[in-house]
Amino acid sequence: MWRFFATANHFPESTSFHEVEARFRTQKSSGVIEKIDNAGLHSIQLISSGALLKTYDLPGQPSSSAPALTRTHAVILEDTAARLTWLALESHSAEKNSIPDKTHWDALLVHLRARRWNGLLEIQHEDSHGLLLFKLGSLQSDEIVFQTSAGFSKDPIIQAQFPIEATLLELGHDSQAYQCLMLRKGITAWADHLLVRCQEMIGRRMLHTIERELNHAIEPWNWNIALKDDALHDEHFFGNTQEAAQAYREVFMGIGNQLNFFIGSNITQRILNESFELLPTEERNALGAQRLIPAAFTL
Amino acid sequence: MLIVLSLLLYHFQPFGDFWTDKVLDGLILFAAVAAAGLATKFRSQFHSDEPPHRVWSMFALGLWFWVAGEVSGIIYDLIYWYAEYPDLMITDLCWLVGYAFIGLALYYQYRLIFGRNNKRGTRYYLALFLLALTAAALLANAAIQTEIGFGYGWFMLFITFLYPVFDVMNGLGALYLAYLFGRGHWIRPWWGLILFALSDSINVFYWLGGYNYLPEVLQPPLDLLDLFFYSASYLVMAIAFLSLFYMSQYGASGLSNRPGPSGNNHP
Repeated sequence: MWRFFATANHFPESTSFHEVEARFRTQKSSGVIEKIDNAGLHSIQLISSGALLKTYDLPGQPSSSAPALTRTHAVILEDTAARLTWLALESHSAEKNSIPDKTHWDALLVHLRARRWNGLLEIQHEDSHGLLLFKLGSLQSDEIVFQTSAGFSKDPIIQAQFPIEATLLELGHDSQAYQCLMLRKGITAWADHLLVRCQEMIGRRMLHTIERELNHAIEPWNWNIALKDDALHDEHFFGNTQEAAQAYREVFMGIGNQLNFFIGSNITQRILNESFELLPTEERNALGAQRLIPAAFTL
Repeated sequence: MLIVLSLLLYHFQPFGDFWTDKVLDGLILFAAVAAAGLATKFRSQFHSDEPPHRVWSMFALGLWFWVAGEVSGIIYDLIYWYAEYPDLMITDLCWLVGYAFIGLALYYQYRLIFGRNNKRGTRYYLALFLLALTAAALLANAAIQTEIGFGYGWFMLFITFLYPVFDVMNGLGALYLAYLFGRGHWIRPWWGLILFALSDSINVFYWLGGYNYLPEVLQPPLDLLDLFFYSASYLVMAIAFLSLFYMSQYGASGLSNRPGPSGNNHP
Protein backbone atom coordinates (compact mmCIF):
# COMPACT_ATOMS: atom_id res chain seq x y z
CA MET A 1 0.00 0.00 0.00
CA TRP A 2 2.77 2.45 0.92
CA ARG A 3 5.00 3.69 -1.87
CA PHE A 4 8.35 3.95 -0.02
CA PHE A 5 9.96 1.65 2.51
CA ALA A 6 6.66 0.07 3.53
CA THR A 7 8.02 -2.14 6.28
CA ALA A 8 10.04 0.59 8.00
CA ASN A 9 8.32 1.47 11.22
CA HIS A 10 9.69 4.69 12.65
CA PHE A 11 6.40 5.97 14.07
CA PRO A 12 3.59 3.96 15.73
CA GLU A 13 0.38 3.71 13.67
CA SER A 14 -1.40 5.79 16.28
CA THR A 15 0.84 8.82 15.68
CA SER A 16 -1.16 11.59 14.06
CA PHE A 17 -0.04 13.31 10.88
CA HIS A 18 0.55 16.62 12.69
CA GLU A 19 2.52 14.89 15.41
CA VAL A 20 4.74 13.28 12.77
CA GLU A 21 5.28 16.62 11.03
CA ALA A 22 6.17 18.26 14.33
CA ARG A 23 8.63 15.49 15.14
CA PHE A 24 10.41 15.97 11.80
CA ARG A 25 10.52 19.70 12.36
CA THR A 26 11.93 19.61 15.89
CA GLN A 27 14.49 16.93 15.08
CA LYS A 28 15.36 18.63 11.76
CA SER A 29 15.10 15.21 10.14
CA SER A 30 14.70 14.32 6.49
CA GLY A 31 12.35 11.69 5.20
CA VAL A 32 8.92 10.97 3.74
CA ILE A 33 5.44 11.19 5.18
CA GLU A 34 2.84 9.27 3.21
CA LYS A 35 -0.81 9.91 3.83
CA ILE A 36 -3.97 8.22 2.58
CA ASP A 37 -6.96 10.27 3.53
CA ASN A 38 -10.51 9.06 3.98
CA ALA A 39 -11.27 9.89 0.35
CA GLY A 40 -8.55 7.43 -0.63
CA LEU A 41 -6.17 10.08 -1.92
CA HIS A 42 -2.55 9.08 -1.49
CA SER A 43 -0.01 11.88 -1.09
CA ILE A 44 3.64 11.96 -0.17
CA GLN A 45 5.43 14.76 1.59
CA LEU A 46 9.17 14.92 1.19
CA ILE A 47 10.84 16.54 4.17
CA SER A 48 14.34 18.04 4.07
CA SER A 49 15.98 18.90 7.40
CA GLY A 50 12.61 19.30 9.09
CA ALA A 51 11.06 21.50 6.37
CA LEU A 52 8.56 20.46 3.73
CA LEU A 53 10.31 20.24 0.37
CA LYS A 54 7.42 19.18 -1.85
CA THR A 55 4.11 17.31 -1.76
CA TYR A 56 3.40 14.70 -4.42
CA ASP A 57 -0.10 13.35 -5.10
CA LEU A 58 -0.05 9.80 -6.34
CA PRO A 59 -2.59 9.15 -9.07
CA GLY A 60 -5.18 6.38 -9.43
CA GLN A 61 -6.21 5.57 -5.89
CA PRO A 62 -9.59 3.76 -5.76
CA SER A 63 -11.90 5.59 -3.44
CA SER A 64 -13.79 2.38 -2.62
CA SER A 65 -10.84 1.10 -0.56
CA ALA A 66 -10.49 4.35 1.32
CA PRO A 67 -9.84 3.94 5.04
CA ALA A 68 -12.34 5.34 7.52
CA LEU A 69 -9.63 7.53 8.99
CA THR A 70 -6.58 9.17 7.46
CA ARG A 71 -3.62 6.84 7.70
CA THR A 72 -0.01 7.96 7.87
CA HIS A 73 3.27 6.21 7.20
CA ALA A 74 6.41 8.18 7.95
CA VAL A 75 10.02 7.20 7.56
CA ILE A 76 13.06 9.13 8.74
CA LEU A 77 15.76 8.81 6.11
CA GLU A 78 19.49 9.26 6.01
CA ASP A 79 20.55 11.94 3.54
CA THR A 80 21.49 9.48 0.78
CA ALA A 81 18.17 7.66 1.08
CA ALA A 82 16.28 10.96 1.09
CA ARG A 83 18.13 12.11 -2.04
CA LEU A 84 17.32 8.89 -3.88
CA THR A 85 13.69 9.06 -2.78
CA TRP A 86 13.49 12.60 -4.15
CA LEU A 87 15.02 11.43 -7.43
CA ALA A 88 12.49 8.58 -7.59
CA LEU A 89 9.62 11.01 -7.02
CA GLU A 90 10.92 13.26 -9.81
CA SER A 91 11.41 10.37 -12.26
CA HIS A 92 8.96 8.47 -14.37
CA SER A 93 8.59 4.76 -14.70
CA ALA A 94 9.96 3.45 -17.98
CA GLU A 95 10.01 -0.30 -17.73
CA LYS A 96 8.95 -2.95 -15.22
CA ASN A 97 10.66 -6.32 -14.95
CA SER A 98 9.83 -9.32 -12.86
CA ILE A 99 13.05 -10.91 -11.72
CA PRO A 100 12.50 -14.49 -10.52
CA ASP A 101 16.10 -15.35 -9.60
CA LYS A 102 19.72 -14.26 -9.56
CA THR A 103 20.36 -15.35 -13.15
CA HIS A 104 17.74 -12.91 -14.41
CA TRP A 105 19.08 -10.22 -12.10
CA ASP A 106 22.59 -10.65 -13.50
CA ALA A 107 21.17 -10.56 -17.03
CA LEU A 108 19.41 -7.28 -16.23
CA LEU A 109 22.68 -5.77 -14.96
CA VAL A 110 24.49 -6.88 -18.13
CA HIS A 111 21.69 -5.40 -20.23
CA LEU A 112 21.87 -2.06 -18.40
CA ARG A 113 25.63 -1.95 -18.78
CA ALA A 114 25.38 -2.66 -22.49
CA ARG A 115 22.83 0.15 -22.87
CA ARG A 116 25.04 2.48 -20.80
CA TRP A 117 21.83 3.25 -19.02
CA ASN A 118 21.40 6.27 -16.73
CA GLY A 119 18.63 6.16 -14.20
CA LEU A 120 17.25 4.82 -10.99
CA LEU A 121 16.43 1.16 -10.49
CA GLU A 122 13.71 0.54 -7.97
CA ILE A 123 13.53 -2.89 -6.39
CA GLN A 124 10.39 -4.03 -4.66
CA HIS A 125 9.68 -7.15 -2.70
CA GLU A 126 6.95 -7.79 -0.19
CA ASP A 127 9.17 -6.93 2.78
CA SER A 128 11.92 -4.85 1.18
CA HIS A 129 12.43 -1.83 -1.01
CA GLY A 130 15.52 -0.47 -2.68
CA LEU A 131 16.68 2.38 -4.90
CA LEU A 132 19.90 2.07 -6.91
CA LEU A 133 21.41 4.75 -9.12
CA PHE A 134 23.07 3.80 -12.41
CA LYS A 135 25.39 5.96 -14.45
CA LEU A 136 26.48 4.87 -17.92
CA GLY A 137 25.31 1.39 -17.05
CA SER A 138 27.34 1.14 -13.84
CA LEU A 139 25.85 0.87 -10.40
CA GLN A 140 26.96 3.84 -8.30
CA SER A 141 28.11 2.23 -5.08
CA ASP A 142 27.60 5.40 -3.03
CA GLU A 143 24.05 5.92 -4.30
CA ILE A 144 22.20 2.91 -2.98
CA VAL A 145 19.54 2.53 -0.34
CA PHE A 146 18.01 -0.79 0.54
CA GLN A 147 15.46 -1.33 3.26
CA THR A 148 14.39 -4.64 4.73
CA SER A 149 12.70 -5.57 7.97
CA ALA A 150 16.21 -5.53 9.47
CA GLY A 151 16.59 -1.83 8.65
CA PHE A 152 18.35 0.34 6.09
CA SER A 153 21.48 -0.67 4.31
CA LYS A 154 23.65 0.47 1.40
CA ASP A 155 24.14 -3.09 0.18
CA PRO A 156 21.59 -4.50 -2.22
CA ILE A 157 21.11 -7.90 -0.56
CA ILE A 158 19.41 -9.29 -3.59
CA GLN A 159 20.01 -13.04 -3.37
CA ALA A 160 17.74 -13.62 -0.41
CA GLN A 161 14.94 -11.47 -1.79
CA PHE A 162 13.87 -13.13 -5.06
CA PRO A 163 11.48 -12.87 -6.74
CA ILE A 164 11.54 -9.09 -7.06
CA GLU A 165 9.97 -6.38 -9.14
CA ALA A 166 12.60 -4.16 -10.78
CA THR A 167 11.37 -0.87 -12.20
CA LEU A 168 13.57 1.30 -14.36
CA LEU A 169 12.96 4.97 -13.58
CA GLU A 170 14.03 7.57 -16.12
CA LEU A 171 15.39 10.67 -14.46
CA GLY A 172 13.69 13.98 -15.14
CA HIS A 173 16.59 16.09 -16.38
CA ASP A 174 14.83 19.38 -15.66
CA SER A 175 14.05 18.53 -12.07
CA GLN A 176 15.90 20.10 -9.15
CA ALA A 177 16.62 16.58 -7.88
CA TYR A 178 18.51 15.74 -11.06
CA GLN A 179 20.29 19.12 -11.16
CA CYS A 180 21.40 18.60 -7.56
CA LEU A 181 22.66 15.14 -8.49
CA MET A 182 24.68 16.57 -11.38
CA LEU A 183 26.10 19.30 -9.15
CA ARG A 184 27.07 16.81 -6.49
CA LYS A 185 28.64 14.41 -8.98
CA GLY A 186 30.48 17.28 -10.63
CA ILE A 187 31.79 18.85 -7.46
CA THR A 188 32.91 15.58 -5.88
CA ALA A 189 34.66 14.47 -9.08
CA TRP A 190 36.32 17.89 -9.41
CA ALA A 191 37.45 17.82 -5.80
CA ASP A 192 38.78 14.28 -6.19
CA HIS A 193 40.90 15.20 -9.24
CA LEU A 194 42.02 18.40 -7.55
CA LEU A 195 43.00 16.79 -4.26
CA VAL A 196 44.98 14.07 -6.01
CA ARG A 197 46.90 16.80 -7.87
CA CYS A 198 47.41 18.73 -4.62
CA GLN A 199 48.74 15.63 -2.98
CA GLU A 200 51.29 15.33 -5.76
CA MET A 201 52.36 18.93 -5.19
CA ILE A 202 52.45 19.21 -1.41
CA GLY A 203 52.33 15.66 -0.10
CA ARG A 204 49.87 13.60 1.88
CA ARG A 205 50.54 14.99 5.32
CA MET A 206 50.16 18.62 4.29
CA LEU A 207 46.99 17.77 2.39
CA HIS A 208 45.53 16.01 5.41
CA THR A 209 46.30 19.09 7.50
CA ILE A 210 44.47 21.22 4.93
CA GLU A 211 41.53 18.79 4.95
CA ARG A 212 41.38 18.96 8.74
CA GLU A 213 41.36 22.76 8.65
CA LEU A 214 38.66 22.88 6.00
CA ASN A 215 36.46 20.39 7.83
CA HIS A 216 36.82 22.53 10.92
CA ALA A 217 35.94 25.67 8.94
CA ILE A 218 32.73 24.24 7.44
CA GLU A 219 31.62 22.50 10.64
CA PRO A 220 29.29 25.33 11.76
CA TRP A 221 27.17 24.87 8.64
CA ASN A 222 26.18 21.34 9.70
CA TRP A 223 26.47 20.05 6.17
CA ASN A 224 27.00 16.37 5.77
CA ILE A 225 30.14 17.15 3.76
CA ALA A 226 33.71 16.31 4.64
CA LEU A 227 37.12 16.14 3.04
CA LYS A 228 38.84 12.90 3.90
CA ASP A 229 41.56 10.73 2.38
CA ASP A 230 42.11 12.96 -0.67
CA ALA A 231 38.41 13.03 -1.57
CA LEU A 232 35.30 15.12 -0.97
CA HIS A 233 32.53 13.11 0.66
CA ASP A 234 29.16 14.74 0.18
CA GLU A 235 26.26 12.92 1.80
CA HIS A 236 24.12 16.00 2.32
CA PHE A 237 20.54 16.21 1.13
CA PHE A 238 20.16 19.64 -0.43
CA GLY A 239 16.63 20.62 -1.33
CA ASN A 240 17.57 22.90 -4.24
CA THR A 241 20.50 23.78 -6.45
CA GLN A 242 21.08 27.22 -4.90
CA GLU A 243 21.57 25.74 -1.46
CA ALA A 244 23.88 23.06 -2.86
CA ALA A 245 25.85 25.60 -4.89
CA GLN A 246 26.28 27.82 -1.84
CA ALA A 247 27.73 24.92 0.13
CA TYR A 248 30.04 23.82 -2.67
CA ARG A 249 31.17 27.40 -3.23
CA GLU A 250 32.08 27.69 0.43
CA VAL A 251 34.02 24.42 0.37
CA PHE A 252 35.89 25.33 -2.82
CA MET A 253 36.60 28.85 -1.58
CA GLY A 254 38.22 27.18 1.40
CA ILE A 255 40.24 24.82 -0.79
CA GLY A 256 41.24 27.70 -3.08
CA ASN A 257 42.35 29.89 -0.17
CA GLN A 258 44.38 27.11 1.40
CA LEU A 259 46.07 26.31 -1.90
CA ASN A 260 46.75 29.99 -2.57
CA PHE A 261 48.41 30.14 0.81
CA PHE A 262 50.71 27.20 0.09
CA ILE A 263 51.36 27.11 -3.65
CA GLY A 264 50.23 30.58 -4.76
CA SER A 265 47.47 31.72 -7.06
CA ASN A 266 49.15 30.88 -10.41
CA ILE A 267 49.59 27.20 -9.68
CA THR A 268 46.27 26.98 -7.84
CA GLN A 269 44.55 28.39 -10.94
CA ARG A 270 46.47 25.96 -13.09
CA ILE A 271 45.49 22.83 -11.16
CA LEU A 272 41.90 24.02 -10.72
CA ASN A 273 41.69 24.35 -14.51
CA GLU A 274 43.42 21.03 -15.15
CA SER A 275 41.09 19.14 -12.83
CA PHE A 276 37.95 20.95 -14.08
CA GLU A 277 38.78 19.98 -17.67
CA LEU A 278 38.74 16.30 -16.66
CA LEU A 279 35.02 16.41 -15.81
CA PRO A 280 32.35 15.05 -18.17
CA THR A 281 30.61 17.80 -20.15
CA GLU A 282 27.23 17.47 -18.45
CA GLU A 283 28.72 17.84 -14.97
CA ARG A 284 30.94 20.72 -16.10
CA ASN A 285 27.88 22.49 -17.49
CA ALA A 286 25.94 21.94 -14.28
CA LEU A 287 28.78 23.50 -12.28
CA GLY A 288 29.20 26.32 -14.78
CA ALA A 289 25.52 27.21 -14.52
CA GLN A 290 26.08 27.92 -10.82
CA ARG A 291 29.35 29.78 -11.46
CA LEU A 292 31.27 26.97 -9.81
CA ILE A 293 34.25 27.43 -12.13
CA PRO A 294 38.04 27.64 -11.57
CA ALA A 295 38.18 31.43 -11.91
CA ALA A 296 35.83 31.80 -8.95
CA PHE A 297 38.21 30.19 -6.49
CA THR A 298 41.53 31.94 -6.92
CA LEU A 299 42.58 35.34 -5.71
CA MET B 1 70.49 38.81 14.77
CA LEU B 2 72.93 36.37 13.22
CA ILE B 3 73.13 38.50 10.09
CA VAL B 4 73.60 41.73 12.05
CA LEU B 5 76.28 40.09 14.19
CA SER B 6 78.09 38.85 11.06
CA LEU B 7 77.96 42.29 9.44
CA LEU B 8 79.25 44.02 12.60
CA LEU B 9 82.08 41.49 12.97
CA TYR B 10 83.01 41.87 9.34
CA HIS B 11 82.97 45.65 9.49
CA PHE B 12 84.81 46.18 12.80
CA GLN B 13 87.11 43.09 12.73
CA PRO B 14 87.31 43.05 16.56
CA PHE B 15 89.54 39.94 16.81
CA GLY B 16 91.93 40.72 14.00
CA ASP B 17 91.83 39.28 10.45
CA PHE B 18 92.29 35.62 11.18
CA TRP B 19 90.03 35.11 14.21
CA THR B 20 87.28 37.36 12.95
CA ASP B 21 87.24 35.28 9.78
CA LYS B 22 87.00 32.07 11.85
CA VAL B 23 84.14 33.46 13.96
CA LEU B 24 82.31 34.50 10.76
CA ASP B 25 82.93 31.05 9.29
CA GLY B 26 81.47 29.52 12.45
CA LEU B 27 78.34 31.69 12.25
CA ILE B 28 77.80 30.86 8.58
CA LEU B 29 78.42 27.18 9.26
CA PHE B 30 75.74 27.33 11.97
CA ALA B 31 73.28 28.83 9.42
CA ALA B 32 74.24 26.21 6.81
CA VAL B 33 73.79 23.30 9.24
CA ALA B 34 70.44 24.76 10.34
CA ALA B 35 69.27 24.97 6.71
CA ALA B 36 70.42 21.44 5.84
CA GLY B 37 69.10 19.95 9.09
CA LEU B 38 65.68 21.57 8.74
CA ALA B 39 65.51 20.61 5.06
CA THR B 40 66.13 17.01 6.11
CA LYS B 41 63.47 17.29 8.81
CA PHE B 42 60.98 18.74 6.32
CA ARG B 43 61.81 16.00 3.82
CA SER B 44 60.89 13.39 6.43
CA GLN B 45 57.28 14.63 6.14
CA PHE B 46 56.97 12.81 2.83
CA HIS B 47 56.77 9.12 2.22
CA SER B 48 59.25 7.82 -0.35
CA ASP B 49 56.46 7.17 -2.90
CA GLU B 50 55.32 10.81 -2.85
CA PRO B 51 56.59 13.10 -5.62
CA PRO B 52 57.70 15.95 -3.26
CA HIS B 53 59.96 13.47 -1.45
CA ARG B 54 62.33 13.52 -4.45
CA VAL B 55 62.36 17.30 -4.62
CA TRP B 56 63.22 17.88 -0.99
CA SER B 57 65.58 14.89 -0.74
CA MET B 58 67.70 16.38 -3.51
CA PHE B 59 67.47 19.82 -1.94
CA ALA B 60 68.55 18.51 1.48
CA LEU B 61 71.36 16.45 -0.05
CA GLY B 62 72.59 19.51 -1.95
CA LEU B 63 72.59 21.55 1.24
CA TRP B 64 74.56 18.89 3.12
CA PHE B 65 77.19 19.03 0.36
CA TRP B 66 77.33 22.77 0.85
CA VAL B 67 77.78 22.24 4.60
CA ALA B 68 80.67 19.90 3.72
CA GLY B 69 81.97 22.69 1.47
CA GLU B 70 81.80 25.16 4.37
CA VAL B 71 83.60 22.75 6.72
CA SER B 72 86.33 21.95 4.21
CA GLY B 73 86.66 25.68 3.48
CA ILE B 74 87.31 26.33 7.17
CA ILE B 75 89.90 23.55 7.25
CA TYR B 76 91.65 24.84 4.11
CA ASP B 77 91.67 28.33 5.64
CA LEU B 78 93.37 26.97 8.76
CA ILE B 79 95.98 25.12 6.73
CA TYR B 80 96.64 27.61 3.95
CA TRP B 81 95.99 30.96 5.65
CA TYR B 82 99.58 32.00 5.16
CA ALA B 83 100.23 29.90 2.05
CA GLU B 84 98.92 29.54 -1.48
CA TYR B 85 95.70 27.55 -1.86
CA PRO B 86 95.80 24.51 -4.19
CA ASP B 87 94.13 24.81 -7.61
CA LEU B 88 91.44 22.23 -7.01
CA MET B 89 90.09 21.84 -3.50
CA ILE B 90 87.60 19.44 -1.94
CA THR B 91 85.58 22.56 -1.18
CA ASP B 92 84.99 23.12 -4.89
CA LEU B 93 83.86 19.54 -5.40
CA CYS B 94 81.44 19.80 -2.49
CA TRP B 95 80.04 23.06 -3.80
CA LEU B 96 79.64 21.85 -7.35
CA VAL B 97 78.06 18.53 -6.37
CA GLY B 98 75.75 20.50 -4.07
CA TYR B 99 74.75 22.70 -7.01
CA ALA B 100 74.05 19.61 -9.11
CA PHE B 101 71.71 18.15 -6.47
CA ILE B 102 69.90 21.43 -5.87
CA GLY B 103 69.54 21.87 -9.63
CA LEU B 104 68.02 18.40 -9.73
CA ALA B 105 65.59 19.40 -6.96
CA LEU B 106 64.64 22.44 -9.03
CA TYR B 107 64.13 20.25 -12.07
CA TYR B 108 61.90 17.82 -10.14
CA GLN B 109 59.88 20.75 -8.83
CA TYR B 110 59.29 21.98 -12.40
CA ARG B 111 58.31 18.49 -13.48
CA LEU B 112 55.73 18.39 -10.70
CA ILE B 113 54.18 21.57 -12.06
CA PHE B 114 54.43 21.07 -15.81
CA GLY B 115 55.55 17.58 -16.71
CA ARG B 116 53.02 15.54 -14.81
CA ASN B 117 52.43 13.04 -17.59
CA ASN B 118 55.76 12.91 -19.33
CA LYS B 119 57.97 9.92 -18.78
CA ARG B 120 61.21 11.48 -19.96
CA GLY B 121 62.73 11.18 -16.51
CA THR B 122 65.95 13.01 -15.83
CA ARG B 123 67.20 13.07 -19.44
CA TYR B 124 66.37 16.77 -19.79
CA TYR B 125 68.22 17.52 -16.60
CA LEU B 126 71.32 15.71 -17.86
CA ALA B 127 71.10 17.77 -21.05
CA LEU B 128 70.92 20.98 -18.98
CA PHE B 129 73.85 19.82 -16.87
CA LEU B 130 75.93 19.17 -19.99
CA LEU B 131 74.92 22.59 -21.28
CA ALA B 132 76.26 24.17 -18.07
CA LEU B 133 79.55 22.28 -18.42
CA THR B 134 79.85 23.35 -22.05
CA ALA B 135 79.14 26.99 -21.17
CA ALA B 136 81.81 26.92 -18.43
CA ALA B 137 84.32 25.32 -20.83
CA LEU B 138 83.64 27.98 -23.49
CA LEU B 139 84.03 30.74 -20.91
CA ALA B 140 87.33 29.20 -19.73
CA ASN B 141 88.59 29.15 -23.35
CA ALA B 142 87.49 32.75 -23.83
CA ALA B 143 89.22 33.78 -20.59
CA ILE B 144 92.48 32.24 -21.74
CA GLN B 145 92.24 33.89 -25.17
CA THR B 146 91.42 37.31 -23.71
CA GLU B 147 93.99 36.88 -20.91
CA ILE B 148 91.41 37.61 -18.20
CA GLY B 149 92.53 34.46 -16.47
CA PHE B 150 96.21 35.13 -16.92
CA GLY B 151 98.32 32.87 -14.70
CA TYR B 152 95.57 30.28 -14.14
CA GLY B 153 95.29 26.85 -15.79
CA TRP B 154 92.34 25.91 -18.03
CA PHE B 155 90.88 23.50 -15.45
CA MET B 156 91.09 26.07 -12.68
CA LEU B 157 89.26 28.58 -14.91
CA PHE B 158 86.69 25.95 -15.90
CA ILE B 159 85.90 25.23 -12.23
CA THR B 160 85.79 28.94 -11.46
CA PHE B 161 83.33 29.60 -14.30
CA LEU B 162 81.13 26.71 -13.24
CA TYR B 163 80.06 28.70 -10.17
CA PRO B 164 78.48 31.65 -12.02
CA VAL B 165 77.04 29.32 -14.67
CA PHE B 166 75.34 27.16 -12.04
CA ASP B 167 74.32 30.30 -10.17
CA VAL B 168 72.69 31.78 -13.24
CA MET B 169 70.87 28.55 -14.09
CA ASN B 170 69.68 27.85 -10.56
CA GLY B 171 68.98 31.52 -9.88
CA LEU B 172 66.89 31.96 -13.03
CA GLY B 173 65.10 28.67 -12.35
CA ALA B 174 64.31 29.78 -8.82
CA LEU B 175 63.21 33.22 -10.04
CA TYR B 176 60.68 31.76 -12.48
CA LEU B 177 59.52 29.40 -9.76
CA ALA B 178 59.04 32.46 -7.53
CA TYR B 179 56.83 33.96 -10.25
CA LEU B 180 54.82 30.72 -10.50
CA PHE B 181 54.37 30.24 -6.75
CA GLY B 182 53.75 33.95 -6.23
CA ARG B 183 52.98 34.54 -2.57
CA GLY B 184 52.59 30.84 -1.80
CA HIS B 185 54.72 29.58 1.07
CA TRP B 186 56.06 26.69 -1.01
CA ILE B 187 58.48 29.07 -2.77
CA ARG B 188 60.25 30.25 0.35
CA PRO B 189 63.05 27.65 0.49
CA TRP B 190 63.83 28.55 -3.13
CA TRP B 191 64.31 32.21 -2.22
CA GLY B 192 67.62 31.11 -0.69
CA LEU B 193 68.89 30.15 -4.15
CA ILE B 194 68.10 33.62 -5.49
CA LEU B 195 70.06 35.16 -2.62
CA PHE B 196 72.98 32.81 -3.34
CA ALA B 197 72.97 33.90 -6.95
CA LEU B 198 73.04 37.56 -5.88
CA SER B 199 75.89 36.91 -3.47
CA ASP B 200 77.91 35.01 -6.05
CA SER B 201 77.30 37.65 -8.69
CA ILE B 202 79.13 40.14 -6.44
CA ASN B 203 81.97 37.60 -6.12
CA VAL B 204 82.15 37.16 -9.88
CA PHE B 205 82.14 40.93 -10.33
CA TYR B 206 85.09 41.13 -7.93
CA TRP B 207 86.91 38.24 -9.59
CA LEU B 208 86.52 39.79 -13.06
CA GLY B 209 88.18 42.92 -11.75
CA GLY B 210 85.01 44.97 -11.43
CA TYR B 211 86.20 46.45 -8.13
CA ASN B 212 88.93 48.29 -10.08
CA TYR B 213 86.23 50.42 -11.67
CA LEU B 214 84.54 51.25 -8.36
CA PRO B 215 85.48 54.10 -6.04
CA GLU B 216 87.19 52.70 -2.95
CA VAL B 217 84.43 53.97 -0.71
CA LEU B 218 81.89 51.67 -2.41
CA GLN B 219 83.89 48.49 -1.96
CA PRO B 220 83.23 47.80 1.76
CA PRO B 221 79.42 48.25 1.36
CA LEU B 222 79.52 45.82 -1.57
CA ASP B 223 81.44 43.32 0.58
CA LEU B 224 78.90 43.76 3.35
CA LEU B 225 76.08 43.24 0.86
CA ASP B 226 77.77 40.07 -0.35
CA LEU B 227 78.06 38.78 3.23
CA PHE B 228 74.45 39.78 3.90
CA PHE B 229 73.11 37.86 0.88
CA TYR B 230 75.30 34.86 1.66
CA SER B 231 74.32 34.42 5.30
CA ALA B 232 70.70 35.41 4.61
CA SER B 233 70.38 32.71 1.94
CA TYR B 234 71.01 29.91 4.45
CA LEU B 235 68.84 31.54 7.08
CA VAL B 236 65.96 32.14 4.68
CA MET B 237 66.03 28.45 3.74
CA ALA B 238 66.22 27.37 7.38
CA ILE B 239 63.29 29.56 8.43
CA ALA B 240 61.26 28.53 5.39
CA PHE B 241 61.75 24.82 6.10
CA LEU B 242 60.93 25.33 9.77
CA SER B 243 57.69 27.16 9.00
CA LEU B 244 56.66 24.61 6.35
CA PHE B 245 57.37 21.81 8.80
CA TYR B 246 55.13 23.37 11.43
CA MET B 247 52.45 24.12 8.84
CA SER B 248 52.36 20.47 7.89
CA GLN B 249 51.85 19.62 11.55
CA TYR B 250 49.42 22.31 12.68
CA GLY B 251 48.03 23.83 9.50
CA ALA B 252 48.24 27.33 8.11
CA SER B 253 45.87 28.99 10.55
CA GLY B 254 47.71 27.41 13.49
CA LEU B 255 50.72 29.58 12.65
CA SER B 256 49.15 32.90 11.83
CA ASN B 257 46.37 35.20 12.81
CA ARG B 258 44.92 35.46 9.34
CA PRO B 259 41.17 34.77 9.02
CA GLY B 260 39.93 31.23 8.47
CA PRO B 261 40.32 29.70 5.03
CA SER B 262 37.07 30.88 3.53
CA GLY B 263 36.71 34.19 5.27
CA ASN B 264 32.97 34.01 4.63
CA ASN B 265 30.21 34.37 7.15
CA HIS B 266 29.09 31.28 8.87
CA PRO B 267 25.37 30.69 9.46
